[in-house]
Amino acid sequence: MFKRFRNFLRRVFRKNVIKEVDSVLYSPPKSQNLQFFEYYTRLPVELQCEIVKILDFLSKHCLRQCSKQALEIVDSLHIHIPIVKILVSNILEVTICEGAGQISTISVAKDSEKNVIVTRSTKISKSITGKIESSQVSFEIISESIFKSLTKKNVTVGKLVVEFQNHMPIILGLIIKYFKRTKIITNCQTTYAKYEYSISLDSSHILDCSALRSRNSKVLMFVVAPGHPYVPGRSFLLKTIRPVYLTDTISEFLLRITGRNYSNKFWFPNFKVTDQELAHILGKFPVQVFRNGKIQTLLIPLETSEKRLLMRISKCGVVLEKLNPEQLGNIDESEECGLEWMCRNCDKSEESWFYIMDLEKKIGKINQ
Amino acid sequence: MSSTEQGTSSAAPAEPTTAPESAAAPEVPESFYYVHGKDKVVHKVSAGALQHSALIHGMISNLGYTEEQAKANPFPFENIDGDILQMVVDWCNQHKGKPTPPEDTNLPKQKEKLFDLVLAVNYLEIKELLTYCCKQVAMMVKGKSPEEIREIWMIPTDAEDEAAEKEAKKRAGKEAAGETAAAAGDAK
Repeated sequence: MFKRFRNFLRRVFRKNVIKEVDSVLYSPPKSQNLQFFEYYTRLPVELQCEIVKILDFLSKHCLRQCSKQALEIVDSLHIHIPIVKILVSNILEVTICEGAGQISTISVAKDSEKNVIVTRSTKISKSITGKIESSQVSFEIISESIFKSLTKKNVTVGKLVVEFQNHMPIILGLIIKYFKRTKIITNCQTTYAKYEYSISLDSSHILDCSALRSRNSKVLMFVVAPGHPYVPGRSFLLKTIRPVYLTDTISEFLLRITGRNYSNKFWFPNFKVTDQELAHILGKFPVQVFRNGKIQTLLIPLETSEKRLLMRISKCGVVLEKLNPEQLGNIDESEECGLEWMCRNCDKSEESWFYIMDLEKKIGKINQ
Repeated sequence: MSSTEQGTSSAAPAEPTTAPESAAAPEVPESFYYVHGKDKVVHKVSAGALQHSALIHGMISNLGYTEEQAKANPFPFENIDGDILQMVVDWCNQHKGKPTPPEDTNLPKQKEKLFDLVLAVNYLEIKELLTYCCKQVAMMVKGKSPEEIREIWMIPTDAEDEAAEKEAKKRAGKEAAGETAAAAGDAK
């Protein structure tokens, strides 16, 4: 008798906790102007499914809570989320990227009275735009609920990018428990998994911004250097990118990197080389010039090694890369700008969009 | 026979507005088909515009419907209101041979019309227009709370559903009892 009563209490308590967690997690601020459409329930189920397919992940979750039929419809659909990013600092921030421009961010934090605060946002930035909900349910239960919803049977996550700024063993344990089948990429900084680059944004890697401002330099470039960040379960080489401001002219910069052992790759998104600068480069270096359509490739010999400096100039920007003679191949036939995921024109994938947004957010934060 | 083959073989005169004078090569005259809805008003639609509808396109290509036959017997869509069919025909004509834009703002704002349009478009299998309509309905609840979604789409709660089911069962039981009583009375 006692056992039955205890089980009953457990069931009721669990149900209430789940209900509270759901209401905290998936409750956006109330809007005033509602547009009613009472015909939805009269539509055939196939059409209801078509409508639900268009909804974003969090709206689907809200709909799930409305009725049994809605729950069945949502659970019958396959939901694919290309990228999920989990940021663990003093808060837990889960960014769900369902496509270019389709972002939902849930932040879970504890306030000074140990109440859990949940924030929803449709932006990639951390700025709090959604309603702040306070709940007595523990931080771990809410975090687990988010991970559970992302790892349901009908949900697949393409890539999970985990960024640990603080050590939180409970969250790490939950991630390992729930995202067994997902490719997890983690690093102390953000990792751009598809392209195997990680971005290093430690202040020591970036030149002094105030000094740069005095020189009126606005050209931002990215220096790629090899690195070995930690990947749980497997370890592979990732290249680290460091954002740096170009403080001198491009020809002066070329002179600097051809004479010294420096990083192997430099990206200058949206950088335009003027005719004057190009003439200056051609006059200063013994350059071989190749042209393929709108892409101009310059091959500059290096003083320090047998390698050559490949300079690719396109409408998307400039790429500088040090290559061995055997790596050159058919450089004159290449039709790619070489900027890879940093190029908005050439790479229109969701991941590229997400990484650029994430990068802009970080660069913006540094500039402030 | 495919719809394009019909277009080349038909003796129907070309529309004066469709053939530009400056064109050097002789243009293939466009074939037209006819549809009518519940109100029996016949709408003339070009074969190019009808390509959007998988149902009508299938009927034309699979049944070998010639233009003359189509003129004599317009496609009957008795379950679609005349004004809704007109709306669909206009949309097909507007987007004839063009890539469909990501959004369409010309969809009806009235709920009843949108509901009828969704059903009609689903029946006629016009995929792009159905996506626009579904998007319009979905956008109503995007970013809303469960209570608001329930309110907007008038989704009955599980308790309401159960109550409705019980009532329906009761009614069915009563009707069945009434029928058996009537049958017994007849037998006596």
